[in-house]
Amino acid sequence: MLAFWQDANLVWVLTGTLLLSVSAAVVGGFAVLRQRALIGDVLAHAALPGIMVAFILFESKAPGLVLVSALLSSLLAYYLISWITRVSKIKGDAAMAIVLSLFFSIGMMALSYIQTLDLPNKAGLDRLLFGQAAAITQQDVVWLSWVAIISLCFIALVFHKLRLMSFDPQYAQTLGLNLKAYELSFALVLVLTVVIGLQIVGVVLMAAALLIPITIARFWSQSLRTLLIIAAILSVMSAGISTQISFMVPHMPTGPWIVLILGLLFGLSWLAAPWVRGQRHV
Amino acid sequence: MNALSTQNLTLGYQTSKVLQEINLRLPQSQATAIIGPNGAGKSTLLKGLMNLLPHMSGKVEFFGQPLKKQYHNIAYVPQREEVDWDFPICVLDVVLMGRHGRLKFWQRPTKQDQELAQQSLEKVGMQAFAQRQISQLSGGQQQRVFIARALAQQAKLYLMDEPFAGVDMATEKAIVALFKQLKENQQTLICVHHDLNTLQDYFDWVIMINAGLVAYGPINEVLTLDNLNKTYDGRLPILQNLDLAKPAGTN
Repeated sequence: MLAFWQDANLVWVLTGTLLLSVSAAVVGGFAVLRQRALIGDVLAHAALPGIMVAFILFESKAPGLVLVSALLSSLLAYYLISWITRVSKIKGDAAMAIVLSLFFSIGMMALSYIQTLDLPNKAGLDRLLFGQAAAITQQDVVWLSWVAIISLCFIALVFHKLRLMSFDPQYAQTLGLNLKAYELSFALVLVLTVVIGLQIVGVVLMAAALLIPITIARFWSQSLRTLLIIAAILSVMSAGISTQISFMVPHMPTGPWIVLILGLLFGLSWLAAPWVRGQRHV
Repeated sequence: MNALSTQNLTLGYQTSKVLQEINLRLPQSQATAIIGPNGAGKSTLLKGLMNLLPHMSGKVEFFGQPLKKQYHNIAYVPQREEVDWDFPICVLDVVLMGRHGRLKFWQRPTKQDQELAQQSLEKVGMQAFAQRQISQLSGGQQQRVFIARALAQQAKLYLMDEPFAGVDMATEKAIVALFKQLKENQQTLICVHHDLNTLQDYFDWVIMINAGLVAYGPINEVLTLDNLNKTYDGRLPILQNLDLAKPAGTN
């Protein structure tokens, strides 16, 4: 049953997946607390055209190339959103929806075009839509792990400042803190987390991996540190189980399973938390 | 030296200018109220002073220097409604935020910072609530926490946006007592204020604005019927209790 534990490569994959799920839960947690829940969704969709265009240009899926092209594409979307909201009366949610669909459409067009090309390594690009942990190579996992570790170290290092800026950004500015520098570095970490999450969770469902763990955790705690820890544990649980399923059943995408298990945990917490805590909150 | 001076300060949002050509000079160790009708630009003025608005022109100086060099001397208290009070954090951690202007990006608050935050909570009568989650506070308690956070900055000038809005009597009294204490310690206060009935009791100076500066100065000099009419476009609130200043030259 648990056959894949015996395979060294698969243990590698699991390690990468778990590291990613921890960083997605923690970084996503901050995004939710800053009331920017949907930005992760936008960044994930916006990575697609970058990856596809890079593939057309270089005919390669090397992890470094995927990472850099996705990063550029997502950051472009991020700037486009802040630019639209700055120079027009369009609100943030509308701007995000516009940019998300625009980038995703371009990505899908490029993907369709690639399918018509006669290239041997084009197979697997469509897995980015829903993710498939089983298909990751060891080379990918090394990249995933580094990015996840860097993201987590960043969050741990500037935890206090991030919390301050999430709670009251204007006040943070009146203290003389460089809000823009923190904003940019957080955006960068968020984009990195999203981009590496694509291979496992997929473009379409990446937002769920970022948002649901912290949302479930809020049923159980009110301290930010505990919240992030609970979110990380839940995220690891769902990622572990889904990866297992993705290995055992051929062609089973990991992303939908992660979301399904998180959804189940959400439902259970919703029912059990008030009963366990003796009071209803939220 | 003036605590605050502005030259031709013009502030606004994207397309509309809310306040134009504001020239102020406020002395130290005074409590100044900013009054004016809704939408007159009171909060805009405070935010503009703290450089929180993108569109502005003119010059602002605190203690003779631009804001950039004076961040450590100025504490800003926003309106309570501007933050999410369901945010998962306890009272003490909110107050400790006041120390972060002096901490580098990787530094955590020290024991001294913790003690300072505790003392600040004591000054507003909230020491018993240090470990309480902020979602469990009443409106008045939220206001006191925000003021404690500003006190933890150990600033020389306090800018407060409607500190008395929606607070109970006990909180109002506690804040007024604190004002007195701050002034005795040579600290300066500038507050957006709504209640004309308490204006003279709580403050020494007044800035009257209505989409521009109407008048400013010591209350007993500038709080005239004429200026109030200009500030509130003739729609004056009940004024029988006000001891209005007489325009120069009469009486």
